[in-house]
Amino acid sequence: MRPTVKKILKKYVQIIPLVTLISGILAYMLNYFVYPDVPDDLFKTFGAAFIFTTTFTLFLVPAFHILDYYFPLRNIFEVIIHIVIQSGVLIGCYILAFYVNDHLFQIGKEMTGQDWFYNFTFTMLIAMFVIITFYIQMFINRMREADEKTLQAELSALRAQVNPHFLFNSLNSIASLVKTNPDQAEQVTEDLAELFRYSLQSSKKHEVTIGEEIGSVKTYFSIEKTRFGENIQLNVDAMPGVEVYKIPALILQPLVENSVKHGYQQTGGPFYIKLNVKNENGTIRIEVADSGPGFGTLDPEVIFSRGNGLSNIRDRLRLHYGNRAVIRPDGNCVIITVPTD
Amino acid sequence: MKESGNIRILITDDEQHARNRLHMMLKELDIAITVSGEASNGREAINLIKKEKPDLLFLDIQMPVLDGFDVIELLGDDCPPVIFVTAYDEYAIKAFEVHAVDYLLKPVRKDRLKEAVYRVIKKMESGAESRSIKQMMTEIEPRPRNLLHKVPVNYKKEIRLIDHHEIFWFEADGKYTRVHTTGGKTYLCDFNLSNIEERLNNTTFLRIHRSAIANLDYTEKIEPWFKGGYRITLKDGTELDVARRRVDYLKAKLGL
Repeated sequence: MRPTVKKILKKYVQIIPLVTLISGILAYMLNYFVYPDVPDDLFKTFGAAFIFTTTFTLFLVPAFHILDYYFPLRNIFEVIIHIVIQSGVLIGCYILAFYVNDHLFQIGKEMTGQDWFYNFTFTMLIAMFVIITFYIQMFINRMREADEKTLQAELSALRAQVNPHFLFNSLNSIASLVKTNPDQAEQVTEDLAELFRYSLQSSKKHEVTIGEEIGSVKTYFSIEKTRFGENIQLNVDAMPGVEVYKIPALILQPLVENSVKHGYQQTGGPFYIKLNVKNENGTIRIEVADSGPGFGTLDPEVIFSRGNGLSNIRDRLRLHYGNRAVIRPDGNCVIITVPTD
Repeated sequence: MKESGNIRILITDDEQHARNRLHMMLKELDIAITVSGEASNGREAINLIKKEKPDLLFLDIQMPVLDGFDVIELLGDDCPPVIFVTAYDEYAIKAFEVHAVDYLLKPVRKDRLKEAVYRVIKKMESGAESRSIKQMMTEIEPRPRNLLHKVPVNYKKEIRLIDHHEIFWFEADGKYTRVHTTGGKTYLCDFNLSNIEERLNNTTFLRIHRSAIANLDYTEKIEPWFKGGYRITLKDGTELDVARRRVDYLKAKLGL
């Protein structure tokens, strides 16, 4: 929550003085034209502008961040929710600010219905202008951020895919098998080609089916099995019908690779991995568990910061699903839940 | 087929096909060598080397539990000249390039293998052999090491691996560490206490004192002791002092 608080304070500093100044000047000019015979009160005008601006900013900016947390701006439905709720906040703020202003500067005392209408329209116009500018700016930032993140995520997914240790060891296995077991050498070469082709193609795609992902896990694992023999075992358990659902590419195989890389490296002996995919009432639940020692800590932030590819998967899930997907390391397994729609 | 004058070689790699290939290629070289054994992990390698005393060791770096660097460290002066064989190790390769010890990248080329073996033979003849390995080990840049999910201890001239749940506590003993086990036996481990502490990274172990790491799962009693320190009693009755400045860690770990 800390960075958000910082962001909100920064916005206050950016918005309040500037908008106070502009709206004060505008109000002053408007007063001059609408009420030429009323003596000007500079202090009153700018004071009222300051109260209006501060009240609106004070409530609308945090409201934006709260709304953004629950309804991140991605489609028209979320934009409408923002507009409806923010309009309510806006009216509330106007009433509050008007009350404060009336109390401080007695602006409401000799106001007629028409004066009040002018005041309301004028304040709302300025507020709307500022809010629209604010949202457009947020939108542009958001889009730029998303682009960068997608690119980075794709890059690191690819890089993780071309794990040099895995590649060179596999080539070494092939070099050895060419003489001792040419058939198996052929098999491994084909598997390796298939795996890399899948990575290259799917990294360009937005999403792939769970069936395709499971296929690449099996290809990957058959190569690892050539390297480590019967020491490692994989058990894939996918609920019938679950294969057709789509998820972002390159999610499953990196998880299994993580198990081999970290779990097997620490145990050495017989090592089991279980990949379980289920459909639980419209939510896909993916679980990768292994017989290794686990993460050694219960703090997910520590686990995600270890540079083991999990944070990359988390980033990509977030980009794709917003808050509707969850990735959770738990003991010696990782659980992912994603919506089916 | 052992002949005097032959160079006796030990191959260590956790992958069967990698061992096979190296073995085949070595046989095809027209140098008088004998492959005296193959080891599929660090522990096996150490025990075989102590028994067979080979002249040359081909050593993979990334292996489960005990990696190539552990093997060298645990063997100490018993370590024969080493040729590293690695697929890709971003930490090691840089160090190798600077230092004299030879290393090979998988898949190994035949002529490169021949060159490496000749280089070692030359060095052996001139008498300047494995000193450089130990020197290199101290200069190698820090790399993330395998966590010790099993602790290597000496037992009758062999290396044994002890599981965490078999360990009551660790006691510093100069450069070495005494490992007190639930079986009532005490073993000597060639790593020092700080090295062990760093590589345990486990929620059940805690360094409670300059010279002790305790397994908190086996703690029976904790009581305040002198000078703001604490004293814990393990299930076997061992009493250990907790240094004052480590009390906070203990409390945090136990959720006090």
